[in-house]
Amino acid sequence: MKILCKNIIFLLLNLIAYFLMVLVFFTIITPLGLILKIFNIKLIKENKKNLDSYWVKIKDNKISS
Amino acid sequence: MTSILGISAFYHDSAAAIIVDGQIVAAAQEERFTRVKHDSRYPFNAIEFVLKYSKINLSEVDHIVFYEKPILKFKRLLKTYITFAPKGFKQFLKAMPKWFGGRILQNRTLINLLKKHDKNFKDRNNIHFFEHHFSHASSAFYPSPFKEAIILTADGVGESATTTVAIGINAKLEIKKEIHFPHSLGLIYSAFTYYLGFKVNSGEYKLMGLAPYGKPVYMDKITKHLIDIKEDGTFRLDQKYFNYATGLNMINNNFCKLFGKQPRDSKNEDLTQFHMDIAASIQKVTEDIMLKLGRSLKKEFNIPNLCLAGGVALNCVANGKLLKEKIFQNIWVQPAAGDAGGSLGAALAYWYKENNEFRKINPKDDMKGSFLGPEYSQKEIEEELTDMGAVFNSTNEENLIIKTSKDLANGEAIGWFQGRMEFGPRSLGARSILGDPRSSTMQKNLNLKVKFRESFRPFAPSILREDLSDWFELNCDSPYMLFVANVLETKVIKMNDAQQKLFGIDKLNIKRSEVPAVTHVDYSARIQTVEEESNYKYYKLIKEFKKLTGCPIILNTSFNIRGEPIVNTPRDAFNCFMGTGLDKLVIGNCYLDKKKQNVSIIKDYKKNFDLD
Repeated sequence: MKILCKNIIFLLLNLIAYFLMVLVFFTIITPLGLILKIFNIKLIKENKKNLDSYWVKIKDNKISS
Repeated sequence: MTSILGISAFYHDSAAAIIVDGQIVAAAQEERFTRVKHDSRYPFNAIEFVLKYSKINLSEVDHIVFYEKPILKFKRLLKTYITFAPKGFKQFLKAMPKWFGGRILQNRTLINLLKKHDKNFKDRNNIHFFEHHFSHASSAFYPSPFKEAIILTADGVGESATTTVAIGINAKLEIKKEIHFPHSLGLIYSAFTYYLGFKVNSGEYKLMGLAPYGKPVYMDKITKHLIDIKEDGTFRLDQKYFNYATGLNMINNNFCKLFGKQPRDSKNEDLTQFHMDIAASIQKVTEDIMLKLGRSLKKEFNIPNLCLAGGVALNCVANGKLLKEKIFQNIWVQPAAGDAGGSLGAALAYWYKENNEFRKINPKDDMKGSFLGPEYSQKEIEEELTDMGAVFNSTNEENLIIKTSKDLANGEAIGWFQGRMEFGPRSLGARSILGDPRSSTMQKNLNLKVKFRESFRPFAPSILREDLSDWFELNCDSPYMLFVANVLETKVIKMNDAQQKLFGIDKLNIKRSEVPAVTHVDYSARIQTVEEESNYKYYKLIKEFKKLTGCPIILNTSFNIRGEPIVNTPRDAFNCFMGTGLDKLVIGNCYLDKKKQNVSIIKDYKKNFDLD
């Protein structure tokens, strides 16, 4: 009985987690992506100045703790 | 005394390395202990080993450095989902549980895992993170023999960078520019690996080995549709053909339509000339990019030395082309160029970047021949073999070398287990299977009866350093088997007209040189130079083989079968010996003959490992 209850709780938690992920993807990520597309804003760094090269210049590599 | 532990984990090839006062003491990959190839889990066993070897408890370690910054990686993932939305839903559902299951708070996850080694471990402030490609760059520059160098790193993807250029001068290392995801040389190579039916992050070597059987007839198609390459070697992939940014596999239908075939089903479909031509084409594109990058970087920075790391740096054919072009005076490649080497790079990066320590340059290099793994005493070996019911003779080193070289000359396949295990994917004479390179049947036999792998795959030659220029078109050190060069024309056996008309794998059966077992179908070889100072026993063995046969070369391949990590312990070695067609096994000073072993110990060894 205990094992069955544990499994049911585990299943419910999983369902909630997946529901939340679906919610986040379709209510936040997708609309945000579409808005950025409309305003032609790119999140992935690109070299816009030099047409002869795809290098992106870097300023510093900081260590984090 | 300052000790720094470097860790790489949670993607593929987890590993740990430890440096003490800037000196590399020990390093090992987790797969060698768990026997799971490319094991990506927390490297518990590897950490245990490096701590034990350096005689340090975890609570005594001054700094622990992780090889990448998970938060930046997570940011890149979110940016990718937003950019490509509503595509990527399936990948999002698959990836997020892993991230929220502990990856985001890596610091806390690491502390919990580290406590398993030492309950007294508490210090949250001594865990640090370096960027993925900075760790690669450090692993390539700091152990190199150069005071000043250009460092080029390229792999699938780190946080967001896929290719970087750094400049190193003494102890200072600085990344100058990068190419960002989804534009990646590693990923396009992996996409073709997938298309040819090989496993991604594992079968890339097979693609490289298959390429010489084909012709680069699809090169134009690749450069016209899939990748735009600039004159300086930088590139951009057309995402219309790829699926890796948002999907669960590497390529999509557009990619298949472009080449007119679906991805090869490795279980039911043989390799054809089409697959060989595809392999040759993407290999040529990779080489061209590396050459263009090399030329433009040399022109821009005018530094004569180049260091390489990242998975793409394991493409020894491209490395060989870079060397042959003489763009740089010297090239040094980190032997553990893949993610495993990131653990070492992260530790070195912390030592030099945070301590601003003076860097003492070793004119050979600081990798100690890459023999950084576990070793076993003669007593331990004998105890383990006795425990397993092995029948063996213990003899002195001189006898052992004479006996083994005679066996090699008689065409036998030998398992060779000596000293400390190698760090990195190559066997360099510590955990190797050895054979006679002069035999024209050795390549096929070793592939099919010992290694249980595809017959087209080539083997590497180990050659005495002093004899190198008598046999190959190469005249510099290559101790880590990371450069490919051609066999000298004087040693090559020319094909007749009928042989020249043969296609693909049919070429395999032609005797191509005086050392056919280590000469690929295009007359190239992946060379390992062996020197007395760094690889004493192996050097002595080759020297004895030369005395016996006049040939200063031995065939060297990793001591494992297809899908198995390279052997680590005497037990692993004995199991592999008994489960394969190996004739003799030499562990330390113990000599084992297959014919004298108890046949009931023989098992179906292949079943233990998933073929890759």
